Amino acid sequence: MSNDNTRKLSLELTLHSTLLPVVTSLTEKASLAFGMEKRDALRLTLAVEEVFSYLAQKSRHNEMISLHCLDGRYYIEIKFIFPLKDLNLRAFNLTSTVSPEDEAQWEEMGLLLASRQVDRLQLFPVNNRNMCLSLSKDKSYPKAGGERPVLQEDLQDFFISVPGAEDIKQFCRGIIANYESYFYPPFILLPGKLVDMVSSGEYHAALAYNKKKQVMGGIIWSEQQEKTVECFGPYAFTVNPEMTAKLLEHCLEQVGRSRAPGLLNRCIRPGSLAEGYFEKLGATVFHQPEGRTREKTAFYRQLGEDLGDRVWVHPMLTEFLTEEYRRLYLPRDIRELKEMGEQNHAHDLAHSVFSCEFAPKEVTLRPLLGGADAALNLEQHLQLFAQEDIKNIFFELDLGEEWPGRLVPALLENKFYPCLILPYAGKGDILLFQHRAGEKR
Amino acid sequence: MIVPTLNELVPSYIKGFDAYIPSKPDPELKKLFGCTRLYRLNNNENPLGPPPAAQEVLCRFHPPLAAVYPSGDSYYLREKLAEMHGLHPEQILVGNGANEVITFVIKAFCEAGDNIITADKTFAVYEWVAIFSGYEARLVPLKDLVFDDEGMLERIDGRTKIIFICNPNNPTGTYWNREKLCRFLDSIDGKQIVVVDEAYFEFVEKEDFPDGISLLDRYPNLVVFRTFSKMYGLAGLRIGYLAGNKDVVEIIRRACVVYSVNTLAQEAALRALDDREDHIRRTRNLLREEKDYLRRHLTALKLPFVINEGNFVMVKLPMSDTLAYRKLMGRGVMVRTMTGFRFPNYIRITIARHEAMEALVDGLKTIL
Repeated sequence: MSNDNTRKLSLELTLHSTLLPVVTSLTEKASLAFGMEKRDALRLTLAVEEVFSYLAQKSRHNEMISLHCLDGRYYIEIKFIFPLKDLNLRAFNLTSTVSPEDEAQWEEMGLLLASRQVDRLQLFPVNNRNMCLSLSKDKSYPKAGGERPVLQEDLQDFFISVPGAEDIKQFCRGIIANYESYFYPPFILLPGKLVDMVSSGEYHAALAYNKKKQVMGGIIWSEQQEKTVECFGPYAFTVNPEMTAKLLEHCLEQVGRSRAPGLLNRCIRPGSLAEGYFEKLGATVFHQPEGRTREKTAFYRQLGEDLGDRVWVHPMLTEFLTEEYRRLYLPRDIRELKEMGEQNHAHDLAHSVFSCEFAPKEVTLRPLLGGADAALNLEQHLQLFAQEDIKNIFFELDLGEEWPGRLVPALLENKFYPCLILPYAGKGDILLFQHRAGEKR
Repeated sequence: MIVPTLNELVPSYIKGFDAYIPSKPDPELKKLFGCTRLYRLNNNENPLGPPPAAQEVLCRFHPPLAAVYPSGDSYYLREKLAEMHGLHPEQILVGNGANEVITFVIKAFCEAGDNIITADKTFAVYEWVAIFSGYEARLVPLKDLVFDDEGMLERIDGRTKIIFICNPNNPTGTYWNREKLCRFLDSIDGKQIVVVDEAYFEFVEKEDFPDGISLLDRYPNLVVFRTFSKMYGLAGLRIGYLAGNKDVVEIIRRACVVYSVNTLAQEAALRALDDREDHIRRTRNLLREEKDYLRRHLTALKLPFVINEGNFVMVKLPMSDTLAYRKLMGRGVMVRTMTGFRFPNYIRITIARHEAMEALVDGLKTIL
């Protein structure tokens, strides 16, 4: 979500390779005008060039496309929106031009090349009639070191307030000095980025101060989305359980009447007071760049009363999901999918289609279409990710729809394991799978 | 290229607003949560139901009357209410529940750029109606769980049209006494419409609790809301009303949808008023006893609680209120979670018959 002051520009054009210079020129100039460094602007331009060329190659004659550039303050987003009509969605599999036997072809993949240049690449349907391919690249910020604040005055006396830019930077340095990196998001290392994230309206921060207006702690949370709000913290630079509780309650009071169904928190120290406000959803294993792995627990709380829901479950997961729903006290009408010889549209399709969302060293797959080749398609994606040295691979399965459930055998076959349920994160609950390469079924 | 048009048709204040989804009917809830009985302690309903005379109206309703439109402006009921309050019938406007009259007032007085003022932790509908109608809702934090008069006065500007005060406040049960209310109205000096929502008026036994309607002569900018949903046990029929100065009500009536209150509701409300004294006494007795019971058990469970006026109490839990809701539902007890009221980890409990209160206490003992 962007605030009203967001700068943006749009262009509508024919999807024809002769217009490529227009697109690249627009991207580069817009990126520079939006305050991106030249080096980053060129990388974004390169990604846009790859995507436009790729789409032009796949398009039908005279097809129109719209291009939207948005200054998100701390990032720039380029969106390509194009009609689904007569489009072969298969082309949007990263692996669409790849033969597993011919690694030389891998370099031809425009989408994969584009993904290497940006921080996030996402493909998703818009209004059932259009597709959107979104590329986002973050601006560059200097890295900060930790600085343990020397707190004076009564450490039990505090007030909570919305911070200015310098206090946000101080807050980041305090977190770096007081917490292991595991308990804060990477943007904390870039205080200038957090300042821009907050001023963009996409994130909010509230800090606790003592009487001398020194920063004693704080909390950050994302702007309410239709699905889930994520919060980071609360962080405290002094032992003050009341302050920790008040920071968390402050955040909850801000989002409590939003349309978001829940609040996600993946930054809670085990045994901290904040645990009492959340429920443990489950854990994912995070592969760190230096080769170590660490389990990351996802905490969650609903913001409203659970109204109950129906979920579609493949029989191979019935036992797991029944137990998880029981453990989480989530009222669900579990409907098991049954193959009874009927012609199933999703399975009649020859080709499955998965979208990929890339984050640094991490990718999340989402199914756009089921298909008979799902297992092979997944296998090809995994080979690609291995080439790219991406070890944190997730798959989101929406339990609110019937057809995605039929992908479960293909997922299990490819060593994707269900790890946690995100209530109401999609059309229904999302079941998150994680790929565990070394494990055997 | 196909342009998504729906997005362009929707005003920005609607885009940012999500529909309120009410809970499912009891049989569906029981099925979902696997319970055989359900105590509804979430909506502040009267466990005794409507007064006997109103119940009789419901039992002997002549079905063919359902084919005939109701009195469009609740003629007889307004006459009755006017007589009861010493007002002129034109000073009364009846609506399909108090929620509808909130909408009437906001639509009658606000236009683009205007704002309303209320508290941050109170009945949400004032805030919601203002926002989804495109007006700003200025929320003033409660002070020690009470509406902050000074804070509200400070937020007034040239575009403030209405100030909503919930007295006693839902969900804290705190109230402004007559002196404080009058002092506030004096400070406003007729420049804004002041709505005093007295949905829980009949539950309050305190001597200094003000009857807003008795102040209408003195403050022509005052509008008072009352409802038949709470003490009178007619929530299922949706009927409430407002009272105000004749000129003010005439303006509000312009924004009012007539025929929105059905025949049965009007008849039952009329009879409820005739038969109110014993009903109110019995309800108050039940509240006193069950509040005492809860106070004892919540203290024993070491749970902080807020017990003031009204037929509800708030309890702070050492766990997520939404998780507690689900766990209690599994035990057939339905409470109101308070995160949406900006009281995270609190639940609000409607005072009900002893059997339900026992089920609640047992449930709390189990889930904690």
